[in-house]
Amino acid sequence: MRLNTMRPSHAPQEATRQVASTSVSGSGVRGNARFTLRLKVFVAFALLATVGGSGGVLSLFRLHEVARIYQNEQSEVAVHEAVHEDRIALLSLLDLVNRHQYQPERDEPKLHDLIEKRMLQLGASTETCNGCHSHLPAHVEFTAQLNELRQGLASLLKPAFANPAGGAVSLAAVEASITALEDSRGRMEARFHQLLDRRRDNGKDILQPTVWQHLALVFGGLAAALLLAWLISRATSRHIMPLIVAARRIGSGDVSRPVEVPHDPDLAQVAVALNEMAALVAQQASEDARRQLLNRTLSSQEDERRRVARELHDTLGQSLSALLMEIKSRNAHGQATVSPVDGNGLEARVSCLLDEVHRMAWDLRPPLLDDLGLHSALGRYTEELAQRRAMPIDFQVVGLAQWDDRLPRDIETVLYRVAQEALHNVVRHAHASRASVVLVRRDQEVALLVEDDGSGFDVETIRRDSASLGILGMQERVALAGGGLTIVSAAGKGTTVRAQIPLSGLPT
Amino acid sequence: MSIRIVIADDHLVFRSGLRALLQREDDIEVVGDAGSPDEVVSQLERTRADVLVLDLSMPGGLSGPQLAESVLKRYPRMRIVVLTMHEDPYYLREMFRVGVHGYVVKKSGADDVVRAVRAASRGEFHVDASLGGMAVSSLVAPGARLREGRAAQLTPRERDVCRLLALGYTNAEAGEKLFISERTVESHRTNIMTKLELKNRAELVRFALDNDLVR
Repeated sequence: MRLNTMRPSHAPQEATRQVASTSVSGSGVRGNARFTLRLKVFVAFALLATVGGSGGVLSLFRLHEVARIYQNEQSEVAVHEAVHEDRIALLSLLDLVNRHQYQPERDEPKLHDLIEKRMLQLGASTETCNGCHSHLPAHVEFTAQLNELRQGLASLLKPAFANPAGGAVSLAAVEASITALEDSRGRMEARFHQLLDRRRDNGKDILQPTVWQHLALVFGGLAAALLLAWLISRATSRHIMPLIVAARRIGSGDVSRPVEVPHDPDLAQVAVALNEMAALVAQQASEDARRQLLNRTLSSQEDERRRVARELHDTLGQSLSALLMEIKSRNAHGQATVSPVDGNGLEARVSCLLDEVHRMAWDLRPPLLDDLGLHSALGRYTEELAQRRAMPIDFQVVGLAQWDDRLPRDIETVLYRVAQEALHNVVRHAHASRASVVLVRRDQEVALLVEDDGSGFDVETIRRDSASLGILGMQERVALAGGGLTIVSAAGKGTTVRAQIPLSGLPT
Repeated sequence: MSIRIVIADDHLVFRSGLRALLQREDDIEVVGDAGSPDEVVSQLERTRADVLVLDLSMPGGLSGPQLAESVLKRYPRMRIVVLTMHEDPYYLREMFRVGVHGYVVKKSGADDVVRAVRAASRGEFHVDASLGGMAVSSLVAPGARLREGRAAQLTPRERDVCRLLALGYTNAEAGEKLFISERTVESHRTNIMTKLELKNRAELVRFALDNDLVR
């Protein structure tokens, strides 16, 4: 027993679409996605870099400023300390002068030492100022004042050295000078503090940028990033644009010329995929056209059959009926225009003719199929065929009430024709003793099974045989209705022909 | 009082022939004729006929059964005699189900029509003599339930197989659904057929329906 599902052209559009989508995703779309991803990452990176870069530059600038302020403060503190020490020295000197009577013999060496030390210290302070204070604007002024202080101190001490005897006078002079010095030093210190404070305030400004600075930073960075991104995307889209145009062209159904393959490997993949798609579109279009034509042919064939059958019924059939009725009436009432014997013969012949017309009309298209539906039409057809061929044909229906359940008309026609063809094959080829026809309606599907207990055949062989137009015809009809045809057969095991048609989404 | 009838047939020659033949009868008066479903409706509206002699295959609009149904819905006391070319138990069954009183085949002749019209006017049913047998066989055939209650003879697995086969699955598909091999399904199928003396799938379906294995 072999099973052979013959659905090569089942749901052709879907199938083709599936193939199309598969092959595109096989190479092109994945490449395309990777490309897009790369572009995105690139742009994001550029964005980040721009923001980071501008932020970094600003930070560097600020760091430098901070370092400068820090250095300045360090040196200013050093100067301050030096000045402070000077002040202490001066004060101690003053204290010495005030509290003790100045006695050159006794005090001079001590004073000398002290002043020497101070001088040294002041020198060191100046050095400090010179060393680390070079970029302070106040440096020059400050150094000058310091020098002045030192010179003042030196000149203050000189009289003491020069006139050891005139201690008292010198002492008063020392005192006055010291007071003057103290004043000048106090002014200087005030000035220094002023400088220092201003410096601190500036530092604060730089260390804490204002809201405007923040906004400027953010918007500047953003603008730069956007510009960069725009530049990048424009550079890339110049290469992508032809592909987009080509894709639109293919989408609109124009597959007259292939897409040019660019050098970029990613874009080349896209182009190749587009070309594959174009090929499939072209193929699908011709397949669609073929199916449409077939569909039209089949449905116009059904219409034509219906029309001819009706015509037979209506003209020939009706005329014969009228004629027959007339003859019968005349025969019955003894009004025969010919002899009674001839009249009876005439009646029989007209009756036969009428039967023949009726049968022809039925064979073309049973009115039962339109009036009462597939269930009745198949029942009637199997009965009639069984009678004519003297072969039992059993017919059963599952899931369809005889009267009320009508399937979509197109599907009824398809299944009726399939049953006709399949039973035709059974009585012609199968050497069967019995046949069975089953119509099953499952949830969203209807299936027709025609089975026989005949000789069976090898499905592959028959299918390859180009002469098996009957099977091809069934297959095409079922495929057009969106279904599939299955044939199971093997030598000596009978044959099952099954047509399955989905009902979902079809108008009833 | 004569029986007032309307003849509905799209074929003029036939209609006038029939009219002439029926007019001969003393108790029948043809009060109107119609050539299309629309005309039937307007004629019935106009004439208040007792019996409608109706052809089943008039072109345009409703099919024969639909037309009969709509006429009876509108005029429940109307008696309809179907006069048709269809010597067919399916039409016969459908028309009596719809509610007509007579079914005459055109081949039979005017006398049958007259008999049917008279019977219908009395509220009796008339079936064309040539179709009597069909009518009976179609009544009898679906009644006898097949091997009812013999489902107990099947093993649960056989019942599964029986159900799937009745639903139109191939052996291979049934095997897939039940996780058994196609060959096993085949042997189950043979067993079922032998046990229940079934000859083919249609009989198996019938059995499954009668024993509620499928609905």
